[in-house]
Amino acid sequence: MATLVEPPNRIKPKGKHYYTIWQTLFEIDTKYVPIKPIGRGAYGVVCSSINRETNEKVAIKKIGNIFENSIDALRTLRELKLLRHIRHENVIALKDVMMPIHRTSFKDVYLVYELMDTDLHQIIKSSQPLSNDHCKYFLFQLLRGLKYLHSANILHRDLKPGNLLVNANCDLKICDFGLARTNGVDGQFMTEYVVTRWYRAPELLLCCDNYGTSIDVWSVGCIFAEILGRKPIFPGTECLNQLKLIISVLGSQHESHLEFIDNAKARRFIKSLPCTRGRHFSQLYPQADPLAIDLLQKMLLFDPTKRITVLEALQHPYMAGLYDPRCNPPAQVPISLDIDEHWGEPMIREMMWNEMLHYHPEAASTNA
Amino acid sequence: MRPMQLPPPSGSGANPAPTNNSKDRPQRRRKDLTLPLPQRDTNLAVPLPLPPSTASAAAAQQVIPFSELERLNRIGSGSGGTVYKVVHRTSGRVYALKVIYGHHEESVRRQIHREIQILRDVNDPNVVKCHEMYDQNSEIQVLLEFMDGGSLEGKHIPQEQQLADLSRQILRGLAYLHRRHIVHRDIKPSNLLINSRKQVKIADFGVGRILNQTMDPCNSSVGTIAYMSPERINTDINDGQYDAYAGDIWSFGVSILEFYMGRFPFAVGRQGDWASLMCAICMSQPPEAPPSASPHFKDFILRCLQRDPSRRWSASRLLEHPFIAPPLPNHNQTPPNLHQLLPPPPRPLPS
Repeated sequence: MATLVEPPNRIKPKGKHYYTIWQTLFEIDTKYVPIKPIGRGAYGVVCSSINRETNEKVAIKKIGNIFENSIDALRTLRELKLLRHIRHENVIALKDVMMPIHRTSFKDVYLVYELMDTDLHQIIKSSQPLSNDHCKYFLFQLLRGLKYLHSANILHRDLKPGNLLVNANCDLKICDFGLARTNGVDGQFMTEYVVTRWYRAPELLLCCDNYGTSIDVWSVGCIFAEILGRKPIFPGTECLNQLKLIISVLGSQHESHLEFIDNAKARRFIKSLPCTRGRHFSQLYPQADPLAIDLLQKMLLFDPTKRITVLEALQHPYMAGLYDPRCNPPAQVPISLDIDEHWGEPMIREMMWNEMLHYHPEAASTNA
Repeated sequence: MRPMQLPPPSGSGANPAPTNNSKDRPQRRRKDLTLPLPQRDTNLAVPLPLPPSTASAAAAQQVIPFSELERLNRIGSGSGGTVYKVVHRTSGRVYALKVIYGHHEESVRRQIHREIQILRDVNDPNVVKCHEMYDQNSEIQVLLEFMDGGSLEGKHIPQEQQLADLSRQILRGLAYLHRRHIVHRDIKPSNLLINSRKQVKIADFGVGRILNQTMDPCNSSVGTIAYMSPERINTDINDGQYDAYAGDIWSFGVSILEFYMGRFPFAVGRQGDWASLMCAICMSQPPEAPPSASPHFKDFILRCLQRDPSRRWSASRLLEHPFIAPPLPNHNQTPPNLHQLLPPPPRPLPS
């Protein structure tokens, strides 16, 4: 389905060739040969390809017209900056970023990732049975990757099954860092961007200003519940409905568990909800391992200060036999992001170019 | 293709490995756990652009090829999309092109296609016309009528006569949509557009509803619930009964009152945090027109902003409200300084 085509304007730049994939023109380095389209990733088309220099299969994502939307551009820049530093077997590797031909006028960005077979969302919604060992191994890898990220001071902030890529041998990798940010940085929300509500922690739903790594743990809990139950645990239709679904499962919260809510009106609202004892997770997932139920309960605590941490989760008896601290070193250094969400196109373009130079140092002398 | 049944992995708990091999266990676990996996959309066929609808064909409406559109400039970003001003080269006509943000599951894309197909059949002088839909480079794009006056967001309209004419036009659009069983769900000033002929039209419906099913703006208090009806925000109100058409009337009433007052009519600003908005909308008395307003306008707002949705008037009934009186007869000439601001006389409703 990938068709080699003539370059536009029939001018063939050195080192590039052109393919049409799902009506999308790919202008890629000649060492890559597309195989077939594999889907629509964030803001673009993704195709599998082979790197002829290494005979390695990769996934190339084209993000077209990237500067038409500054949110998309900032999102991509954030991912470029973060993934350059990250080296972990449970985080997707960004192997290359192709240099565009024109530094000052390029519109498209081509990212080259390691190729994975599918994602957890596809697995969950398929009829493929999953054993307890599958559930355990998926969760272990997710926690291990997250431990690395948190040790690098990175919050993912958009964990969901579709952002967890999986291979046939059950390797799992976290992807899509467009919403990630470093912990503790004063950051305003990007008001135009949307994120999936179903995996959002209570402290985010309640507009709390201070949040930390515990928001990712909540998302992991929702994902784990979805692996066990094969459907989302909190499929809210609106913010309020989301909160009600959470309370209907966890039960009404004691006042001492609501102190983290710094908004008095939001706290009053939570207290005004009808009293309920909730439902124990063993009722929702009767086939699950009791240790899995225990871990899930500790992940999905309403109060983020009482929620289990990633490290504690890895040390939980359910993870026995999988987690060995000697095999999971922390990231070398905390990673910092110097991204200003008010940058205009020229600055974003320049920063992107600088990121690309890390993958193509030989192009540093070019003034294209 | 049905995935194969998975044989139980040999590494199951029944035969735990010795403790001294724990360091190697992840590697062994990886080898044991294989899984025939569902492929990630590899067999996904590219959806074809929809054929012109019967109504369009009957009207002998010319199909506008995407390649004949020239992008002029970006107008703005809305819920889930960016809007550009475009010109059709062969005819010279100007349109708005809405590019819907990507990254949707196939089921969501199908929903969007279905929704846009409905919208293309919508034809009313007070609803923004949807002319075409394209699937370009995996992006869904919608060709819309261009409204050169932009949106009414931030407008202050203290003169009741102008407000009545504005209300009449919006209500006509709403009555048309509701008769066709279409609910907007996002009526607010920024979705009410005006052109240089002083026509007011409802915009941005259909697709927004699908995209809002699972997605929120990151700062979820901005624009999400400020114009929502109480029963929609809190489904415990009204014992869970929900009349979607009445929800549109509430949003319309809040918008009209905002135009009159020149500010969001609740005690908290519309940029307020989610919880404050929720308390103001769901737990307080509905806002009223200020004492300076005429009795007709006060009653009109009262009919729109009933907490109980079953007591809210419908769009067609509101069109008969005394506040929505026909323009004054000629012998009571409108003051000259207001005349230019008035919209043209209403077009007769189709029989």
